[in-house]
Amino acid sequence: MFSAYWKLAEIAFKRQIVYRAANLAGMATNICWGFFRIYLLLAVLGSGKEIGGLDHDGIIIYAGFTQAIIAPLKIYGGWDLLRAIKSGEAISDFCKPIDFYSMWYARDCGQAAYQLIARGLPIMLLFLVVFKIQLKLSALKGLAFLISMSMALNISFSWRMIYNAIGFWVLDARGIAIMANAISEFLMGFTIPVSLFPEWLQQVVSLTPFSAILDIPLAILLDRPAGTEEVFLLLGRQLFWTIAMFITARLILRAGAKKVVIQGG
Amino acid sequence: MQYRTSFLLEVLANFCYAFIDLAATIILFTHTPALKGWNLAETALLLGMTNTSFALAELIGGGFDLFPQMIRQGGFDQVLVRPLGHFFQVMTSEFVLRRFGRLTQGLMVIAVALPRVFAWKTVFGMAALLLPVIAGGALFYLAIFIVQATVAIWTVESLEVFSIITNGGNEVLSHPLDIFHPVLRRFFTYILPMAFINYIPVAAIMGKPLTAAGVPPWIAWFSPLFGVGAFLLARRFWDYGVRHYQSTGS
Repeated sequence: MFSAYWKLAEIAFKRQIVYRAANLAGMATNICWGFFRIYLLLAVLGSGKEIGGLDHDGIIIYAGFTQAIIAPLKIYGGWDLLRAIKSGEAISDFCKPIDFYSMWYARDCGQAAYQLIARGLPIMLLFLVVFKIQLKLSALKGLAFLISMSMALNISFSWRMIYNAIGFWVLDARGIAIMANAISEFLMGFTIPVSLFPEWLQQVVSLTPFSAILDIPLAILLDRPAGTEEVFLLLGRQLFWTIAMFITARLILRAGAKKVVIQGG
Repeated sequence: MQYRTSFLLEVLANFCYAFIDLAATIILFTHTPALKGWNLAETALLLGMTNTSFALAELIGGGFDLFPQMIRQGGFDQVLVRPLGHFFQVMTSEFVLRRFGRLTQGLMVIAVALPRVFAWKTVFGMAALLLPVIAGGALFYLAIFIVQATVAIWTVESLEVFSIITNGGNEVLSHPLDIFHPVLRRFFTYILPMAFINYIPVAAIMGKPLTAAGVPPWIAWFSPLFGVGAFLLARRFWDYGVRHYQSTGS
């Protein structure tokens, strides 16, 4: 069965290669936005040492990282499932002898892998090089970051499944979904770093799964956790949300499947 | 009934997106009293103005957004056959009502920021002064939408690169130009003079030094004209594009 998922991921990965030109255009856009964010945050920093725990280098890393994950994590919204629901493709997918969530996740992983390598990595590197940032690397940090990113990808995918699944019940789900996604963008710290939020808002964010998508891998990149124990705590929190969102997404998908298959769409 | 709800939701979603930018700006100002001498109210005024201009352009020029699709589906040939002007037809082909979300946000922000920037006595006078500026700004954004659509006559698909200028420009203009790299400042002043949409006129009215833009203060009086000029140029380009489309015989 695993080979089937691998194949799905591989196909999804290869499909992305066709869109090379669009990818480059998207990358150019991301890079420009990264620069805008950097100038804004540096202006807020002014002559101070740090804002929300971010110093000059931290700001660059934040900007580079947020732009790098746009494509792989579909931060601006992924609508594949909603489209499949509206076109009826989802119904046939449900009838296949393969797990719906896993099938879609395998595809998403393939896409994300390509976007991380072909878009995310170059963007991140560009900002690091242009602003001459030395990223402190260690085997432990690298490993923790990779684990954190995989969990972030999964949580992001589960979230996308959830807001796309609104389409099973609502005729024109896009409006609600766009709003939900916009709020998630803000709460995860994509517009401005979470550490800049007022205390009460940070508390609110920590109660949502969005805190585990961007902020935790970012914290690892920025060397925020003081020691190995804190790294484990962060990853543990992320694991909690991964599982919670995984279960929630699957439950909602199952309910959606019941609705379309039994009631005939 | 469901469609009315979904429409309201899209307006709300649009408003949400615009509001989030505002919320982010407000939060940033809790970490610093001013951005290169511009406080929250003044920055909010910039933000409100550019969003209003942008939203107006989106509302009016929604048809241009869908133009690439129209070409692909062959609808443009029908447009050319009709006795009405093609420019007018395309422009009015779609009235994107949901943009009212962003427009509402922009106007609300201006309404709140204006009395905090200027003394109450002068508020209405300032609003009157800024009205043509906002209109000029809308024309400027509309000009870019027109150019973006016209280019699709050659490229068939709309180029994402334009969103850097429209959305990116709106983002940049939502903040005082002073904070950006000199290259960026000069680009938005001399090469693509979008700084005249809000920054230059507001800075001039407030008596702030225009050293960041590097233009003499008196030029601020002509701000709306840059939008008008851009629009006329874009219109010319559109006509050129349509002639090309007709001559190559789709």
